[in-house]
Amino acid sequence: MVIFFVAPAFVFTVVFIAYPALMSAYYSLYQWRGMSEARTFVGLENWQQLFSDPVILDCLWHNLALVAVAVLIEIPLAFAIALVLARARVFGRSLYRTAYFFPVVLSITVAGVLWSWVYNPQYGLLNEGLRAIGLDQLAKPWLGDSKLVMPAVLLVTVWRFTGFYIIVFMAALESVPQDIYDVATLDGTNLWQLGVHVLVPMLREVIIVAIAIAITASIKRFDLIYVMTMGGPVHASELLATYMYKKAFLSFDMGYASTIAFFLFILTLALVVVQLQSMRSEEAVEF
Amino acid sequence: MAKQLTAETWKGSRPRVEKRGFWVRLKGLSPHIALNLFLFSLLVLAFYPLIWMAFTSLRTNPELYTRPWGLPTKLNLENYVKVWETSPIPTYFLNSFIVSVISTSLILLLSSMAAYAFSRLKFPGSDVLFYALLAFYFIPPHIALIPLFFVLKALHLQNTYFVLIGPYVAFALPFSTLLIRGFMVSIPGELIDAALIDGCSKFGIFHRIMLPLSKPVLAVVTVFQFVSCWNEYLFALVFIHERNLKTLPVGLMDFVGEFHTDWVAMAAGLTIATIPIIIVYILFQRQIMQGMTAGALKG
Repeated sequence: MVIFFVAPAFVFTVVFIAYPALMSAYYSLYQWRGMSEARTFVGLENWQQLFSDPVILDCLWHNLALVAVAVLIEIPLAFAIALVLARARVFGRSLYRTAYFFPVVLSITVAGVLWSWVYNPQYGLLNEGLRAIGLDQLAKPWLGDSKLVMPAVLLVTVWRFTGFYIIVFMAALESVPQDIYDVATLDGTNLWQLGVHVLVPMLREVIIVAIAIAITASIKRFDLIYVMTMGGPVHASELLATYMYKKAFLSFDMGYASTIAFFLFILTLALVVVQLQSMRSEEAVEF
Repeated sequence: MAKQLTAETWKGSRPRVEKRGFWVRLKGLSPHIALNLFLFSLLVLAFYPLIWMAFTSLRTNPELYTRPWGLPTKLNLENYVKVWETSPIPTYFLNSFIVSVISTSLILLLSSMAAYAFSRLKFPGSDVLFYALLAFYFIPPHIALIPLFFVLKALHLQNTYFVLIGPYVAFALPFSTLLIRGFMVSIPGELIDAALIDGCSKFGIFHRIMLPLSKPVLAVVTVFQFVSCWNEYLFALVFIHERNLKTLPVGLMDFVGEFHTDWVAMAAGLTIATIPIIIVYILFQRQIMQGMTAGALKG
């Protein structure tokens, strides 16, 4: 009887997650070029290659930059906006809530192409705007410059994902008992104090979960970069996922690509375990 | 300025300002004005690219280069006609819709069934199984990409809706089950006991009591998973090569490639792809926001 309720979920997850994950680990021990069936066992050679591959190091930095921006900018900004929308005198509160969430539901391709237009060197909105106010020398090929491409892309991730965390935190703020707000008003606490000293500690668990989501999502990120830069120029905005995709389906190096995929998994797991361990309070988060 | 403890102060949020002079009042209000201006400028920042896209779609190419700013001079629908007639955007849209609806329905059904078992039917090894399911949450889809690609190729299953639906459902299940289980645990046990006494079967309890009571969390799961299926890129890119079966994100990228010099037509195509989202979002935003704020996201 119970089997009937849990079996379907396990059929799907075993077939589409567990089995391929194991196969991936297995493939990572082989050299396997392209679409042929011929595989040669090479032991840990792919792993050696991975740890000496300078591009992997670049990817790591870029992925970590995504994590940092999500955790240090998107989440605090979202918390502040959620708090302001929930507690301050704001005209058109629900309009803002709806509007800020919209970039999250917008098709990723539309978002990516739109921002490529914003950054376009000749006709892009950003450069046109800079020229219009006389700052011609600041007009740059934003996505074509290896130093500027990551900051440019990171700004887009802030634009796209902050809304998600705003909604998460607004939901959490609604669960805070009204008494807390009443007492705070009585004490003359301002919003900043209320947020930092009362609400952040109270909503600690929600924040921990949000950070865990931010880490996993940032390490997995693929689509935005694929649409906007393809990891270029050269590897200046390459992420682990785009590099893996290129190795697998553009250079058909399936063994090495599997190794990268498995590395991506281990990295996610390690970061989340460290994060949960270090942030978790005595009373464990109820998963 | 000493504050007197009056009834007004106790209300707190709205200090009385009528008696003060204009400048004092303005000074008192300025943080609010600054805050509202700030929120509004974020709004403009968030939306300007979209508005620009809509305006651009109504221009002609020469006009775009001479005056890229401001309102379009006339309602020029040429670009829309061109895009609608030459590109399969409606087909991409339909594909995305079919895949997302079927995946989301399956996700809802399977994860609520599992969540019910894990929250209410204690059985030997249920904890172990639950944590095993959760562990799958940390496995990124990328790891499944290459092995699945070859399995599907061997089974000649590439270029079907199924190759997307299977992974979408599987990768959504752990998180959805976690959310729904968290909600079901909070449903009072008395309700279930009462139903048991009345002779309700386990399946009856599931679909007569647990499902209706879990509506808020099911709404959250629906929104989350629909949006992520709708926007999924990696599997859609690798598993589907037939033009007529491509989903919107990948199909649109082909379209962008074809029209890459024709910005105004491209803008029309992207606008066509965005309008239905805006309509659905505006129609359902109340449900979306209510579901989201039902407190179901507390993990």
